[in-house]
Amino acid sequence: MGVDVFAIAAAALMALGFYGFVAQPHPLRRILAINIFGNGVFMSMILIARWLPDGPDTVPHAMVITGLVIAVSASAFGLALIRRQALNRRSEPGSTDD
Amino acid sequence: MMALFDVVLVFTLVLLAWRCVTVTDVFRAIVVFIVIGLLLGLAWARLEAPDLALAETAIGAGLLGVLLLGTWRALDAGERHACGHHRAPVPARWLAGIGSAGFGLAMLVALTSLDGHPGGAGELALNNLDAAGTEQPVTAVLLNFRSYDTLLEMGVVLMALIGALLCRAALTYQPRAEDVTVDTPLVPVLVTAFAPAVLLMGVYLVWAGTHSPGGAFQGGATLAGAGVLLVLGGRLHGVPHTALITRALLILGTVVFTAAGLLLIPLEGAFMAYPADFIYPIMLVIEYSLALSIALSLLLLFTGTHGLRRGES
Amino acid sequence: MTEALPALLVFIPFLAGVLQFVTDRRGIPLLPVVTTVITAALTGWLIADVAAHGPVEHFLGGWEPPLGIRLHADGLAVVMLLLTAITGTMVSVYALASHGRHVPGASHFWALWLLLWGSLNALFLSGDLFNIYVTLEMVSLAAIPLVLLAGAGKTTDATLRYLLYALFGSLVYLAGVALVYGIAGTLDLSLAADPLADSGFAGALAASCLVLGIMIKAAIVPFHVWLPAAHGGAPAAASALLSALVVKAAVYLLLRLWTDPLAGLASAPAGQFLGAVGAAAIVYGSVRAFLQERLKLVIAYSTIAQLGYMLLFFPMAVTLAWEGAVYHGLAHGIAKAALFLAAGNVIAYVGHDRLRELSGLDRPLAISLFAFALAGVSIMGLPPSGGFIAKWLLLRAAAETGQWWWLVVLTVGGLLSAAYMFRVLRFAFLRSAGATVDHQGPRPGPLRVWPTMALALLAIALGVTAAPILALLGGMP
Repeated sequence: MGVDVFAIAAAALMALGFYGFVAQPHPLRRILAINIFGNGVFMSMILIARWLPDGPDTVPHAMVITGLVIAVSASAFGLALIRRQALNRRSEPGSTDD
Repeated sequence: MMALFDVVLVFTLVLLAWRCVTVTDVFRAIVVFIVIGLLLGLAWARLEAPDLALAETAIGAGLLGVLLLGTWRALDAGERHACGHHRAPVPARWLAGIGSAGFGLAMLVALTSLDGHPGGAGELALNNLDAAGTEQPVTAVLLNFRSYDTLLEMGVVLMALIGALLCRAALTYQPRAEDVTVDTPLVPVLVTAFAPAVLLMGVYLVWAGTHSPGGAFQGGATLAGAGVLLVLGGRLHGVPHTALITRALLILGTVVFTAAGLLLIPLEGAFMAYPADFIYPIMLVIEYSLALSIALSLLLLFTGTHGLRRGES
Repeated sequence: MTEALPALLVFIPFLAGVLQFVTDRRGIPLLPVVTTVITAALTGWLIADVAAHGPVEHFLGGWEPPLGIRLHADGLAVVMLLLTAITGTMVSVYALASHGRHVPGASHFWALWLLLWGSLNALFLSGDLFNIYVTLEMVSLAAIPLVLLAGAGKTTDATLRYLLYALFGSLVYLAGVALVYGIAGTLDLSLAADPLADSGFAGALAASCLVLGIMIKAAIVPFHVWLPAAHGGAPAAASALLSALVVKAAVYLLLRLWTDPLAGLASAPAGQFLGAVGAAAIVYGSVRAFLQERLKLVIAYSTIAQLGYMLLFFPMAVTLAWEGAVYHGLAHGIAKAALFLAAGNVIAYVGHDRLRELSGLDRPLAISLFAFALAGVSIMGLPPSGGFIAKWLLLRAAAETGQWWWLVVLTVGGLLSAAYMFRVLRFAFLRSAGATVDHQGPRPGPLRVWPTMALALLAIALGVTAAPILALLGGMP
């Protein structure tokens, strides 16, 4: 068996997420990068699930659903923090807190 | 034919992901991110994972997309500019590029070197489906075999919500109407037409979770999507205070799930073990209460408020 | 009944936290007080049971691994539960004063703290790689909003950076979990060990992902950048929890994985590499702590340094090093909580924590400063204290394995920590020309002073209680 084309996608999504996290340090961009990385991880889990001969293995599927909900909730918290940050800057121009 | 489709799909995904992390304009990055989510839904449907395709389109692309766009709207021009032009120094970017390429390659080699499933948990999950109280294997894992993960995950959602609410808590800030509603004449019409259908689909997806693709999370996210439509159309408003019913609904899933687990310890000898005779109704009650709590949590994460109020458009 | 104890230790604080979020917003924090008492008592019961009869296991849902999730309370887990219960009880008492009725955000503090307690217990008891991912996320998402409670948007940037690093770290960990599942077909820590031992490249990559993800969460140099502002900016009670327990939980996980699922993969060069990272953390953290101008930042950088000592287990990997690393985690946790609570008392009284403007505090804050000095003794590793025992065990391990270079690291680390601790004490005790101290608040009351003192005394007492605790821990698995 050769290289699964979806394995390329999984690896590339993780690599690009990794790159994005370092290269574009703005928090909003980091949230995008983190989620792209996460999607690569989920994709690799779905690939592993396909290896079970009797049909897709649902244990990794359940892990993807759990991981997805956690990632999105945490991202939503991050986005709320970004909005708060923007508001802080607007209310006291020229001052940041770290 | 399908092989060609897969190659095109993967090529597009990688290209879009590359655009998403490199493009300067943050709005375009967000739009590209949403498209990636939709394409991933397609890819996962191809990979025999329809449940996950549903979850990704509803939660990963849909809900997170709406949240990202909402955040973009809340930023002023200077911050939007900073999102694209705040970059790591060139040497750091080169290092990151080399490091991440190496990491991706290593991942690819590892994934390719391992084919053939070692059996184990996955086989057991399929073999024990009869005892799980549901015909749908993903639901069986989420609500029975590994229900502990799902319960703790509800805690994560709740804590993320507490965090998001704290971001607003110390503020005198009230969400302005134009922050969350869209002012086009078409929207109220669309909301009236679509919201009931989306609501119905959410309820169906939760119920479907016991025998076909769907489940508490996909259904809950769809219900939250209906709520988002209602907020955008001005039928629902976020309010800074909270009603008892809202709070009760937020924790309903966690409390029902934990209570079922704790109360049955003396009977079954283990936390979260359910008696075989009543397993189907127990699962259904747990699934609906989880879905309601998830829907409300996600909706409040969207509005960023403690409560909701009905309002005329 | 004892088989249910692990599940109860997770769900009593968890459920109480959930209820705290939706109920009582103004009254006295009755629910947290009751929960603290019950959880601490149940922890004691479980420890007594494990000490008497050995490890306790609980199969959730009645499903045994590899299908189900296993909770297990072994020596390492119960020592961490002990640390959590001791620190947690004292912080709860302290928070009755610092997050009492009229403090904005108090109800949220209690909800998050109870959820954090349940999450920490869940992490320490978990025997499943993916469940550990979920509990790691729970610990992070309970801890991160605590930083926000400093209020008025002061800590937004620090909180956001903490969240982004934590989220990225846990997804890197999750990539490792995916590979482990692909190799072993199980997520159970012990069952995965054998398939992983001869898994070649994929296993090595899986282990690297797991370790890297945890290192980001544990703020190990060079991933420490999020820690100082977050730990230094949070309210004192929250800082104590974050520094004593939350980052410690991630390092605990490294010890757990290294000695169980990754035991077959753990090579000597990898161990030396982690030890070198630990040494870098000790030196870097200590030097930065010495250079800080704010009290809480000194303590936060000290955490970065002190976590490095726990990494010295990996190159030596003998029972003495195991005992030393775990005992160091315990001693540092208790001493560090005392330091942060004492700093909280200083801030409550003076209104700030700028070192150069803290003079002549010895009279108004005598007990808090005494507690600070006692906890400092343990951080410096001077006898008789828990810190001394831990470093002594590590020194003996270095001698036993003939790796003399760790002796140098331990000695330099001890001297550096003495330098930054004495610098703080010098500023605090120094009597400047004006004898009166400007202060903004009243003197801290007994609810703030005595938990601080109790923790400091415990940090010293750990110098003589090593035998029963090490017996409870047991040898290296």
